[in-house]
Amino acid sequence: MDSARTGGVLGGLRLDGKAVVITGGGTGLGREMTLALARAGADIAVAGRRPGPLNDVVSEVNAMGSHAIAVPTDVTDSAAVASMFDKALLELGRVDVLVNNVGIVRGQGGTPIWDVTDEMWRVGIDTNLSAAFYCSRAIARHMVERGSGKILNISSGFGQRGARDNYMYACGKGGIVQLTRSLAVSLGRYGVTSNCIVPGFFPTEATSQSSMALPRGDLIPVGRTGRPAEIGPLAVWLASSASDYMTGEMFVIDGGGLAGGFAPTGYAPEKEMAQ
Amino acid sequence: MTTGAKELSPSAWDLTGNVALITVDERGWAPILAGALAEAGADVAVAGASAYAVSAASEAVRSSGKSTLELVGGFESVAETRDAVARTADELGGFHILVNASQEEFTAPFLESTEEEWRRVHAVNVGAALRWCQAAGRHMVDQGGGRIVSVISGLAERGLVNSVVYSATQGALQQVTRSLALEWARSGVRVNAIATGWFETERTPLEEQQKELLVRYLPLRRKGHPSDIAALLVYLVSDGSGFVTGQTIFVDGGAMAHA
Repeated sequence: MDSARTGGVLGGLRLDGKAVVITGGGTGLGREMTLALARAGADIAVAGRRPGPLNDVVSEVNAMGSHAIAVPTDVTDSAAVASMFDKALLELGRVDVLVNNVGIVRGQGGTPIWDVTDEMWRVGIDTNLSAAFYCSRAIARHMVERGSGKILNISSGFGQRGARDNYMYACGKGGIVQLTRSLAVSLGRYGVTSNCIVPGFFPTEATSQSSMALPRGDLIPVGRTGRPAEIGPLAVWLASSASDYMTGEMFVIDGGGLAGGFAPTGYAPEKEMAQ
Repeated sequence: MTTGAKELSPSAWDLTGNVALITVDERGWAPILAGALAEAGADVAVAGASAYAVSAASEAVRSSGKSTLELVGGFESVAETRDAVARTADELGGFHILVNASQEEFTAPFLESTEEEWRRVHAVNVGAALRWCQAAGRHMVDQGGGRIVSVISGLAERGLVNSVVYSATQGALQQVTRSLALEWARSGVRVNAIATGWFETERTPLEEQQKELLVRYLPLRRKGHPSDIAALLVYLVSDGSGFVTGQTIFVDGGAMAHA
């Protein structure tokens, strides 16, 4: 096999020797990304609020022979973020990839604007946007000094479209896209890239507690919701050197939802005309 | 929530048992892209007007130890693209993946371009993709699954001086991608595109590249190379991307974020 020709198209997806920090990596899509990145060979620091899920995923990673540590952290607190990176750097030696995954869906929708309190707005924006900014700020210089690094942000289809009675989530996730672009334009010259995954609807423990109006599988073009494990291969590609020429971009993984936009799924004009 | 996780990585990228057809031109990208599909395990038919380009891409497939089929022709009718799909399915044992990677680049001040040129550029870039999509899609919809990826230009989304006709064809291909993805979503056929920025096939030294103002303006400060999209192409035609459809993925060194 002449792997030199393509730089080894599958070999380029390995993450052996890479150190990853992922926020919110103990549950939902974060957990799936943690497992996929570990399976590809990365060492991982998993940060998040609740120690229970962090310890669970770390045990699972260590059992598969990769290396992970749990770093319980409130990532909406910039001082706590700084200590989290101190610990990650101490344990892993460096950070090659930051995955800003933490977000909150609970209590993020179904509230008319006049009932959204300052506190609700603050918590929503802190968790869905500021946390990613704090983490990126804390590690950007380290990446720039090493001349390489990847910042991977997790936005949402709601970062691309409006949602009824949904302010903090839609604004936070939209802000994530702009954070991605500005990081890309600012840090690209130093070898640091930044991209953004835009997931459509993937049922998780968190979405089951959400007050937002979430789509059913039959309203998604491919006819089903996403399977959380499906985010894994995409995260691996974006964390690997195989995606080095991509920066400042959004990668939408949503079963066709945004391709159609407002048109109801299955809408076919000729049927209307035939009536 | 770990159901399916094991089979999604890293074997998710494996194309063993899949048959692909890639359309090629003389830009020199095809051997790299066809080679990547073969390296990931696919058998690959290569179709194009240039016997030289077809043979170079086929050779890349062969050198990865996979089967290949050389299809040289103009493919100027759906009958011809349907024949090519049927022959590929017969000789390589199936048909699962179509990669539209043939383009005619065209630059001219609009006032100096002719109707004949507009027709040709649209026929080569849009018409051919439609013919291949219909021929491949008929087979894929019948069998209940398939993947289509078109390799297009970032000018699908951005404008450029002296590129009116070419960028119109690229915008059209992005819309073909979106609408076809929706039309075939329930038939298991996924349709996506990769949009490239400023690419070159030779590897000019960085210092030389950066003498150009545009390269210095790109966030990543280098031109792209077809190998920069090889793994993405494999991902988009593999089962690992089962929830991705109707998307155009821009690989452009950050140009879209900047402009």
